[in-house]
Amino acid sequence: MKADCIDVDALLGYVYDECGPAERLRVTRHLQSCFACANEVAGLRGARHELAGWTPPEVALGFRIAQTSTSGVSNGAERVPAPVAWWRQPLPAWAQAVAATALFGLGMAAGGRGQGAEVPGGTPTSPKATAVSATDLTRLEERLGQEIAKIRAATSASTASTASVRASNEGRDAELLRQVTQLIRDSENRQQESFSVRAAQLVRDAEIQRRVDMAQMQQTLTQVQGTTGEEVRRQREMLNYLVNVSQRR
Amino acid sequence: MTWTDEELVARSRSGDVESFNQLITRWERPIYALAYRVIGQEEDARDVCQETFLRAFRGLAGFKGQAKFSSWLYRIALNLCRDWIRRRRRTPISALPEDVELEDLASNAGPSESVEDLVARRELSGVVEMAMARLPEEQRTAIILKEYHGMTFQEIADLQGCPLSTVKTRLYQGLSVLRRDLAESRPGIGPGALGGRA
Repeated sequence: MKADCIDVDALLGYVYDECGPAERLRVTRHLQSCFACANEVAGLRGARHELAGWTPPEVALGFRIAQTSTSGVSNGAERVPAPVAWWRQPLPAWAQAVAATALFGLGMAAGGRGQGAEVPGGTPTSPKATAVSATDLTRLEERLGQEIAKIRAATSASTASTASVRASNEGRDAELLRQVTQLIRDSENRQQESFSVRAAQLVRDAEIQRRVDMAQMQQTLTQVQGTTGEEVRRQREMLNYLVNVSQRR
Repeated sequence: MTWTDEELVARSRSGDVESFNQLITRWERPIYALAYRVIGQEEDARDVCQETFLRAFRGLAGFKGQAKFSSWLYRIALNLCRDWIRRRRRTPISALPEDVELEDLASNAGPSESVEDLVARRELSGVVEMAMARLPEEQRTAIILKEYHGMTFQEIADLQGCPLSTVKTRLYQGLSVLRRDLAESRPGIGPGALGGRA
């Protein structure tokens, strides 16, 4: 490298085409007369050429930001309702009816036991008191009916909510199914490509092996032919010798 | 209609999540490629890529548009890569590509590429990956940003937070080492083919 060689900054600017026209002209002229710098530029370009062959693997990405009502964002996951304790979940309609009937029965039993019973330190229960108790029971029955109606209404609302969640889940399942199908398809494609690569390698290996075998066979054949020729030559010599000897006699 | 990055950022900042998803679609491949080449691990590169977009989304309010959106994304991704490398310093990534399943690269085959070409390209890709993994992180990153993301020296300097001359030095030293390593690992090439200053 000579003292007047161009510096690394200028070389890089030239190689990456990040220099002005005057600078480019200066470097070009220098490269025409300096083998070391020309070699350096060729080396840098060679390395860049090699780098171009490096490709990252293909992967499925597809990130999405999903909007949610409370937190604003979530990375693709939908918001799922928090689990509710079993004792806070609404009872089924049949259980509510059984509970109401049991309560009603208990009320009736309590009312029946009160008839004629003596109150400690007081007077026996009067017939008027019995009549009031029946009215109360009727009111109780009506109130229970109203409560059951309310509970049923709440249950049907809850069922509607569950249906909407189910619909949402079904949508998500369909999306999941689509993604799984896509993954399977990708995997099959990869397997096919992998199979092609391996098949090509096998064919290539088989071809190489075939050539090696052919060469060995050729060599063996040549040796055999050589051996056979030698044997024939000896036999001929022997025959000639015998003929000559017999003619002399 | 195709929106520019700046328009999509503005819409995202006003609460349009779908606009941000368009930005993700536009930039996820380059960011993933950057992360993969810097850290050399497929799954971790995916994680870095995803985290980059999450952080960008959460930090949209703080993005004032002084720089290009892509530069901002690259900066986030590079910071995450740097964190990853710090965490994994005990296991140098130069050991990683050895057991790379070469068949995985087959998925990159172009429609007109023959299997022989693919095998050759696969081998070359592995050799380059190994050589790159041996470079110091700063040199590797500078080369990646220059070669695969087409950034100018100044843009790399801004991203790496160093002077312009440092970027050029990193590039030159990295390319020189790479050139030597590639020549050694591929004897057919020979040092002369890749040059070398006398």
